[in-house]
Amino acid sequence: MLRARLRQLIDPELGLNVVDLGLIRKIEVVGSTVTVTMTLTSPGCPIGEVLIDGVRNLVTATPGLTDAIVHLVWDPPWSPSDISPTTQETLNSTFL
Amino acid sequence: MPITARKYRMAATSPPSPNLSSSGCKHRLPLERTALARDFAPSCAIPLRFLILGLLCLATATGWLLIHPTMVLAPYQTPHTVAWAHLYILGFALSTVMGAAYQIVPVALGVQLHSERLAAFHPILHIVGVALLVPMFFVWSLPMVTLGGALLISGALLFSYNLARTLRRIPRFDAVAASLTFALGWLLLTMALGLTMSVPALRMLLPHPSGDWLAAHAHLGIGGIFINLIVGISFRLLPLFTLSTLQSPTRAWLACLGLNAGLAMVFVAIGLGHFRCALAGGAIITVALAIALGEMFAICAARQRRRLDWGLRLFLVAVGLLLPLTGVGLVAALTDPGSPLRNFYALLALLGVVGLAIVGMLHKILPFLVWYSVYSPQIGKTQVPSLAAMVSEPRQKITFFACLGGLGLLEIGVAFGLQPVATVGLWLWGVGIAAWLVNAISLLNHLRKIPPPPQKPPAEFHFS
Repeated sequence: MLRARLRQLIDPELGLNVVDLGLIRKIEVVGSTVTVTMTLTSPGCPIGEVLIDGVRNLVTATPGLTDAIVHLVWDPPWSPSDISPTTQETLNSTFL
Repeated sequence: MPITARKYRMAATSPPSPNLSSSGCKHRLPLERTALARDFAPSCAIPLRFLILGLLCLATATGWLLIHPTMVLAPYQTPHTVAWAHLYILGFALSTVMGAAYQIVPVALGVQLHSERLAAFHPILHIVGVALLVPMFFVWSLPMVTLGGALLISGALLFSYNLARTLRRIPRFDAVAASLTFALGWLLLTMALGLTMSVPALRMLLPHPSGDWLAAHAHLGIGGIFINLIVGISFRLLPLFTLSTLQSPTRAWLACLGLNAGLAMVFVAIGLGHFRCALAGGAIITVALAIALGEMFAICAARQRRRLDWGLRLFLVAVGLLLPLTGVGLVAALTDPGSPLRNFYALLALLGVVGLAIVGMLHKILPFLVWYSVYSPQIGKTQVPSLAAMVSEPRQKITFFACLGGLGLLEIGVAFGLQPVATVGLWLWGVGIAAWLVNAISLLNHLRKIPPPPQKPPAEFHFS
């Protein structure tokens, strides 16, 4: 359910959601606290923290969840092979 | 238009979570790096002021050319042409570059801008400087040109100091940072030379006062500032936008150092009238640019994002024109001062390389800045548009094809002395720029959606 919710979060540059982009590595729920382990397309991503804020906002807006912890990881580094197959084609056909 | 996005956002959001970490990383990043863009990005208001000025000057400069198309075939050392050139270079190109630099440099290098307070003073100096300098060139009032120039160089000093202090903080000084540093130095030298030339008493202090210091000033400005930045920033932004990586830091360094060594030689040689040294400097620049283009080609070949958007295509065309530009420059140096090839060279540099590169990058920067100002506070709370949804792709296509077609016709007209062909080219270029300006205005309209800052509750009075 949380993954479906996080699909609402779009990378504005690529126009694709963070789940299908392969940025969300792991989601753990303990009680009302959610720990999301995620990465970004590159360390120099200019909207990195915006996406992290977006994850927190979406998670804490979910009924029954009150706290969101985001772990940002860089290992292994993100690569386009992390993108879901159905989304890969969209990436190459969108102009932005 | 209230532009208070950053202050509002800071009031509305909670502090960064203490649990935000990079634990478990093989490639561990320092915590300030994981704090990411919002901590480094300055207020969007400052860059937006420069970009809006840039757009206004681009519209004015384009309209001016359309009204007086004979300028492109006339000798360029006339008051009107000098005025137009400074409107285009200082008003459009430099304003846009400065606005973009305030936003992108800290974020791309992962450090905070040294001082937002200093940055806040800059726009007024720059705007008033441009507003004074351009008309005073038009009427050739050199004392007032000097005043306008003094305001501009004051703003440039603030800008250069601010960015230089910012660059000192970066953990690793790479070729991108070196290009930025060189560009800042050339910016100040270009403006100082311009100021010197506008005061007869100071001009006499120049070595070889009757030398072609105007041409040296032009080469230093276009090459030292804009071509340096186009090359340097490409090494950072191309990988970012194409999902690729810098393939060879050594190539990037060679390109940067060669370009600047060649520029120094060209500048001094032109000013002192040493023709062969100027040609040698031009040859070094050509080799350096060939290396830079090789690296950019390698970056694009390794990209994961196969399809390039219209802005990037425009930028890459401009980059591709760099080598032909140096070739034309070397040949033009062998011709007489009034030769049409010199006008061809100047227009290729201004409209072809600088114009297309900046308009191309604006296709990326302006939507991002507007999105960041308006929609980043709402992310995860409401539905926000993507950058693509904020612009019109058909208009971007018009900009691409009309600007390229217009430039081609213009250059043919100039090369062969065919005014009607040049005029048609200018109008086609104008259509392309108009399409971009319409897109820009529709983007800026999104700024109206920024909510005002939350009001403080009225003070409570207690009566005993």
